[in-house]
Amino acid sequence: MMRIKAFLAMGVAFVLAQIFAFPALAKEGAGASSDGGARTSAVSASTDRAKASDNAKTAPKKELSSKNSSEKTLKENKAHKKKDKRNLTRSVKNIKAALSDADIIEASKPFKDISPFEADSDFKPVCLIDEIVFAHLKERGLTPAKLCSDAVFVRRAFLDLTGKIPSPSKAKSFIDDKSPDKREKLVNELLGSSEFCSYFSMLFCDFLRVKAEFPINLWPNAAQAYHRFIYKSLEDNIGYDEMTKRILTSEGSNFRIGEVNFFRAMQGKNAEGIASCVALSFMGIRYEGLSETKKNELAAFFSRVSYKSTKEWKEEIVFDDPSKRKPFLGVFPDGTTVALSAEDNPRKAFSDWLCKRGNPYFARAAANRIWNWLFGVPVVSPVDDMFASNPPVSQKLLDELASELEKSDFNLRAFCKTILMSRTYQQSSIPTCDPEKARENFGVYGVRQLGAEQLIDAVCSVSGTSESYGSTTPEPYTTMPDDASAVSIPDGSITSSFLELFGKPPRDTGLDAERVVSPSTSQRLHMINSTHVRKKIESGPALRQIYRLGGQKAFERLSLAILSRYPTYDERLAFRDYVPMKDNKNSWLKLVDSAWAMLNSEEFLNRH
Amino acid sequence: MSDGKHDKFGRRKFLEELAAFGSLLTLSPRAFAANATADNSAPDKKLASFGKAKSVIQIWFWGGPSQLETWDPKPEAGYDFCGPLNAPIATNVDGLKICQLMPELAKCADKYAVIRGYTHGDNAHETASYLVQTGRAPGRYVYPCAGAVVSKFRGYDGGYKGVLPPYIVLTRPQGRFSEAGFLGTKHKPFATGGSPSKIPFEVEGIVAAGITRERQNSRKHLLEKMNTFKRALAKSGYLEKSDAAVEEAYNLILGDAGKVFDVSSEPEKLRSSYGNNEFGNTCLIARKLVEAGVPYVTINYGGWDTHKMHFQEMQRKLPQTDKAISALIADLSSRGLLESTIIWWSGEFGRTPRIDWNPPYIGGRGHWGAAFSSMLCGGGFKGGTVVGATDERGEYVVSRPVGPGDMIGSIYANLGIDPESTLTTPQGDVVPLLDKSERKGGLLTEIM
Repeated sequence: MMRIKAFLAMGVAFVLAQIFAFPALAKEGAGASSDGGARTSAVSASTDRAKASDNAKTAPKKELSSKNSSEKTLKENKAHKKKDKRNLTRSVKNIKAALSDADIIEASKPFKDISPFEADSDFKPVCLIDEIVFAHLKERGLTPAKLCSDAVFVRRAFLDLTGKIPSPSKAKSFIDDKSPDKREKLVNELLGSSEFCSYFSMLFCDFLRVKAEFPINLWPNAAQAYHRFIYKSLEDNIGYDEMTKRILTSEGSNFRIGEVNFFRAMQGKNAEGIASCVALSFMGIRYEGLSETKKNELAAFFSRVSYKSTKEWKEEIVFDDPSKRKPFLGVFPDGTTVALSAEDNPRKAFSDWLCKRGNPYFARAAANRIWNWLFGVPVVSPVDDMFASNPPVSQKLLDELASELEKSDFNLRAFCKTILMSRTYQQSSIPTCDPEKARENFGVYGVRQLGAEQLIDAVCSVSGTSESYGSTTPEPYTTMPDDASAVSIPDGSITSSFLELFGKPPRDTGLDAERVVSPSTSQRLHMINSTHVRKKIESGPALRQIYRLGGQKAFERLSLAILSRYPTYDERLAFRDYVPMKDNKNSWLKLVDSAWAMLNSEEFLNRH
Repeated sequence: MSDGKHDKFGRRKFLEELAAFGSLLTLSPRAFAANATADNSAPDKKLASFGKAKSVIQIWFWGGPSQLETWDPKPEAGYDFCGPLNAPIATNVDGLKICQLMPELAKCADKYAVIRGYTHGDNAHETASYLVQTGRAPGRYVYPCAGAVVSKFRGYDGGYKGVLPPYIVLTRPQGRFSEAGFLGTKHKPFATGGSPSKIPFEVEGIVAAGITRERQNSRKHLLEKMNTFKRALAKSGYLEKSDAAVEEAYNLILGDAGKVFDVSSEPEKLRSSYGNNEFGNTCLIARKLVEAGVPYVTINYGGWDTHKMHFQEMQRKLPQTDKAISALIADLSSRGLLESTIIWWSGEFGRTPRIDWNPPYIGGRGHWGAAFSSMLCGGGFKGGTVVGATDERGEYVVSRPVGPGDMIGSIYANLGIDPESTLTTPQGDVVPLLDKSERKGGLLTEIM
């Protein structure tokens, strides 16, 4: 009994120590630099404190708790923590006196003419993609953009691979890191993260129409199972060809075999409807544009697909109807043929043809789509209508990208890495020649507005708030966990007014054009003046923690959190001189309005 | 709330045939010709009121307002159907009597038309809302409602140049209803949120509580100074669209257009004539919006789903409603705006004529989509008329049925939008605006 009581007391002391560890640790950190330590960075103290707060949330400080619990009683602990807090306030005041805002501004003055977005560097090709693009630009008398800065790269890589922006600590440590291979290390880290799987699942689910409700009507359980299949395929990094083959040859229950939902995610559940989706999703072809003969030939491979229900509510089995077995001569879209006996599976024959090395459609369609996701400028536009009368901007680049994908055995992570490490991808978004031509010919990174999911997730992570996502049709309702990101939403029916406002694709057609990326007045109105965003800026816990730092330190932290970079000299001056309202001396307003300005800047609202 | 259609096969079929015969008699030869050649768009344009209206104020009675306690009283039907309100009042139109709780509207009955033969047969809130607001039955696509269609044809794509959004909802969207349907985000309504009675009216995105004009201006300048990336790309033109969007946003926030959302700028006498309550002030804002040129304003007015406490609610709500709407009509009229503004009074269905005295309803009415009422005022619609009639209990339409397609089609026609127009879905299909199956008696040509 006594042992249990002692154990409980230690447990409570442990918990209390976590709550009060922050000021104690900060005091240690603050103490170190107020001793006149060797740090040269002007804001080391504040970032130490911020780091300390990050640490306090994650790793438990065991030595502190055991020392306290063995030496003192609970009551004495509380008094001790209160004293720590008072000491902290004194130390912070000391720091503030030691490193004034004026000092901080002065320290950034020597860098005032350096562009925060570009690094000085010539275009040095590192792969065949680069050589092709450079030659392509040269032929047209165009020059590539400069290399993007580290700050731009860290934000860009995070958004393009995981759909999130980096935390302020992460951004800072990347920028400050001096190792020559830091970009590659970052790409590896991001590609190995679960956020990569989550984000790319979302992108796949968009064109595969993973939606529970009208007009796709998968039903919630099935939509979740389908998403799960895609997520797991990405997590296990099975090749894209393997994933496609599994989808196209699948059969079974919509609830238990997630991938069979491909054959249900369309409005006409018949051979023509299926063929249309196969063409759109995997071949970059519009079925409606094919000749009657070609349409029939393609549909023939899916003529045996049938559906039946079971006693389980809304379960549907997808299977090949045995009564439709008969030998036939299959004609593939490229004109080649295959003689199929009654026992052969036409769907297998088709997927074997489609995913084979050298197939004219599959690798090109996939490579073009993924290239567009990352770089922002497609080689052929639109990405799901590639072989009509619209030629690629560069046939060589399209072929090379397809070749890279095939060579890596359709390893999506390897393909993404190749692109991200290329000099082409790492160009800044600022053109060095005619802007329109530069953009069209891959001479700049394609600036475009953040995707709806990316934007709300970024606003939430910056402010430390969350949204609640759920669907009230059908009953029983679906509710996502409180801290779920918008990127992680599996079902296209689950949305919010913000997401719809910013162009989240409804997943009704699977067309790439469903996602709206052009800015609108109501979007900007919402970011500038809505209650929704204003509450996050004023009351968001993560932002309030930054505001408490005060002055230039807070301003710098805001910049790292929101823009993923240090502020420029001119920006620091703008902050110093800013007066929100003539008769109001509230220093909080300056910081709130600075956060607001950063969140409404083109830099934050765009991918660049 | 039960799902599904209310259907009595034999009787309904008989009534439909009767109604069809009746409608043939009531239609003018011109309109009859129009129906016969439904594919030819020209005949509709010969209607006298085609294109007369420029704006619509849709007063949407969410929940289903009772037809017996508003436009179609049945004092002779007995207590089980009529209830305590058995003394309807005469209006300034011979032969027209409306509920005794609407005395102000009775005085201006020459200005509006009462439609008593509205029918679609659906008793489910969401389905019925969809039917009444889009003019279509649920099917393959999610069609846009009237507001979104007007936003498409008469909004920015149709020559609207105002700074205010062309389709505004006061104050909250209905919920479980997609206004824009497949037309997408561009034609979603702008919902103001907030409350018109509060000064300032915190119109979502335009008037932010606690942020003065001075601060809006100063932080706008801070943004300009700190927009480093925008300056870096200034010459490229890549951010032109966002520049334009931001400029328009600020026109709304700092410009004069935003002032339309302030009731306090109206004279005290006028505000009291509307009633100085939430619904009254909402109607007043609606008038200001159409005066400023907004083509479509929806007032989402809830609380009409009176399964219980039905008569108490009617006693409470109708006098306010009566005062506000009659004030709105008078106000628009005195400003010369009534000829160009359609006021459309409607809910998604009516209420069961047979009163349910059993607990828990104890004097309540259920949903009734078989026969209910609506009202149209202004915008080229002839006032002082009654279209259609129901039986002695108000249960079924006996003459001149009006389907959702007829009502919506008439509104479109008066706005100068051809009801035979088509829309293109995102999948590329070209679909007609209205559903032939929901056009029961034809356009309301008797009042156009």
